[in-house]
Formats: sequence, C-alpha cells, structure tokens
Amino acid sequence: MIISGRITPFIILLTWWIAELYFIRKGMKGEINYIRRIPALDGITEAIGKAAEEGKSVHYSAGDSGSLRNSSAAPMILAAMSLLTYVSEHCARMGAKLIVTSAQADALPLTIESVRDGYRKAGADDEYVDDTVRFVSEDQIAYSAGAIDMFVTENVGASFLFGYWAGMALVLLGAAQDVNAMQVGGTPRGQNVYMVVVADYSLIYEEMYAAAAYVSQDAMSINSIAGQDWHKIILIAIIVASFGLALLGLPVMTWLGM
Amino acid sequence: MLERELPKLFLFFISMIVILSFYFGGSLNTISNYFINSTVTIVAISILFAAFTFIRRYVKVIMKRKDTEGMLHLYALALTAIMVVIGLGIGETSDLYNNIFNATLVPVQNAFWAILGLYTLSAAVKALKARTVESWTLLIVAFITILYNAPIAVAIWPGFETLGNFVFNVVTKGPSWALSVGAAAGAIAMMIRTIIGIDKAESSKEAN
Repeated sequence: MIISGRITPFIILLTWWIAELYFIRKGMKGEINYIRRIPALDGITEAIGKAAEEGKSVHYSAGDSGSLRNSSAAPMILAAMSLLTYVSEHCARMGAKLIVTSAQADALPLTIESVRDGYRKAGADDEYVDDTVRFVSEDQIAYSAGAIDMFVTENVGASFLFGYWAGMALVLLGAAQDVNAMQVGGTPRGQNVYMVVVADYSLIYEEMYAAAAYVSQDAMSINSIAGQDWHKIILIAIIVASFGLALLGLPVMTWLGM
Repeated sequence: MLERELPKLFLFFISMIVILSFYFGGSLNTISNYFINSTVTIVAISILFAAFTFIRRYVKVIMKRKDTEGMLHLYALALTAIMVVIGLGIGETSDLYNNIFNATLVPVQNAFWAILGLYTLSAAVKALKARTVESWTLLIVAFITILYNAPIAVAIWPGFETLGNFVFNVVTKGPSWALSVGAAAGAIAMMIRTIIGIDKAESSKEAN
C-alpha cells in the first residue's frame, strides 16, 4: 500500500516518467527538439581558452558539500559531472591544466571517471594525471580553505563552480576573483544569486540540468529537456487550477490527498 | 554486451527500489537503506585518498618554499599529525583533543565566516549599482531588507518589520517557488536520464 499523503506525488511522478520517456523515444527515432543555446556554455570555452593562453590552471568544483546519499544534492552533483566531462574535454583540447577539487567523498570515483572521459573524448587519455582530482574534505570550511590554497599556489586562471553549493560559494567566488580568474557558475540553490553577481557567466537554477544534457549533444538527453518543460506546464496548470478551485471553497487539498 | 548492460541493469534495479521505498515504505525501506549506506566504503577510501593528497601536496610546497607560506604549510602538517596521534591515542572525546580543536579549528572556522561577511558586502555593492529602473527597484527592496534585519531600525519604526515581512513572505515567495518547481523538474529529468542509462559516460558510448 502507498503511504498516506504520497498518492498524488506518486501519480505525478508516474506522469513525469511517461512524458520523459515519450520525448526520449522521439530522440531515439532521430527527432530532436530545439533547445536554445545557453550563453554560459560559451563562457566555459572562453574561460578555458583564456587560461590556456595565459599558461594558467583551470579549477572545477561540483560543490562545497553534499553527497550522493543526499537526495536533493545527488542530481546536482550528477549534473555537475556531465559538465565536468565537457570542461575536461576542452581543457585537454586546449592544453590547459585542470584541477578538480572535491568535497563529496562518495562521488570521488565518479569525479575521476568524468575527467578521464573528457580526456578520452579529446583523444588525450595519456595526458590525464592522477593529481588532477583532489578530494579535500567533506567539511565545507576545510574544503574551502584547501580550494583557496590551490587558487593561489596553482595559479588558477579560470574557475567553474557547478553542482551543490552551500555557505562557502561566495567565499570561493570571491577568492577566485582575487586571483583574477574568469568564472562560470551555476547551482539550482539559493547560492545561485552569488554566482549571478560575482561570476562572469552563470547558469540560472535549472539551466544547470539543461546544460548537462545539452553538452552531451545526445538526441535523447536533449529531448528529455522538452519532457521536463512539458511537465512544468502541467504542474503550473495544476497549481493554477487548484488555486481557482480553492478560491471557490472546494476541498482541493483533500482531493489531492494532502 | 553483458559487461555494458549489467551495470545499467543494476543501476535501474537499485534506483527503482530506492524510489519505490519512498512511496511504499516497509521492507523496501530496509533494502533501500542498505544500498544507500553501502556507499560508506567509498567514503572511507576517499578520506584516505584525501589524506594522501594533502600530505603529498603540502610536503611539495614545504620543499619548494622556505618563506612564510612554507612555514604555514608545515604548521598545518604538524597540526594534522598531532590531531591524528591524539585522536587515535586517547580518543576523539578526550579533553586534550577537544581543547586543541577549540583553540585552533574553531577560530579558523569563525575567520571563514567573517571572510564570507566581507565578500557578501563586496557582492552587495556590485549588485546594487542603480543604473536601470530594475536595479533601482532592487536597491529600494534591498534597503528595506537591510533595515528589517537591523534591530535599531525596527526599534525606531516598527513599520520596517511589516515591510520586511511583506518582502520575504509575498514578494520573494512566488518567484522562489517558481524557481523551485523548475529546479525540481530539472532534477527529476536528470534522475530519469541517469536511471535509464542515457546519461552514460563517453567511454561506454564508444563501446556501443
């Protein structure tokens, strides 16, 4: 039996699956939905190019805390991993040294593999060095201290902050600015406002998920963004309809099983 | 074929158990927790990896730099060694361990939050340059918010509290919820892509 109060979310999740699978299936047939270009993605290549020209390093982080065991942090970390593959591929192509600092212990093998995939995609497997991915600490203060140390000692010229960010987002953004590093950031959390203000380019909230699918250039992944948009429309319709019905005095919350 | 598909099948199977445990509970919860908690093995290895990286990097810096920076790295390494020895020797709950922690790490942590305050101020100055109508609106709202958070302002005129509550509970709530719906939509789409294995690594794409 479904736990009381979770029937409506379960139905919503099922419809979500159906919508996503429909669009993914369309992608399998070769029909690709149009997705607008996200300016921050151009910013990524621009920043790597600038760092490579200046002979500086590129820094990447998937967050100052969180873990794959945390249900809200996990999708953000996974999206950041797709972007990490994209960043490492471009670093390998442009000859920029990449440093990935990690605060998520359980995501470490995934982080290493994402970087290796990027190098492999660029045809530069042998250029990957073990020192590229550095797990610093799960404690956000210790992590930030370690990452800032690398900004200075490793001469960082570009910094990318995606994934799950908490209190230390602004400290890392500020520290990267102090060493004149070009920055691109994005997180679907409240810390996104800091990225908008301080970073040169930013992905606004859910754009990070869309960017993760977009950079893969895979028809099924791109089409899943269309499924996500359609479901948002359905959710907005439910919210507006519920609001209208509640104004009429109807027991909408009871109907929704909440 | 099996080498490629088996991990995907495992991923799908385990993910479905974890998802369904949220809705159905019961014994599914027990199995789900087992899978989630098993990641602790990876965490333990990662922490060892971190210690190794930390020592290797810091020793490198100490060998290269004989100035203040080298000394600071030496100090960090020495402190780590002391904490490890005391922690393993007399335990994490001992007074000595806690005193060292309170005398060194707590001030460092507080310094970090202080740095955050400085950067917040710097970011606020950047964000609040009134060049357009929109930024003027933002500036006015920010001014109200600052006064709402300053006890002296509320003491002078209690209306700042009403205005501040209006900004937080009415003006920002709607957009904040809209952003949350968008972020949740993205997270679920990401989850579905991962579970059905289309967000796979480049290496597995080549294998296909």
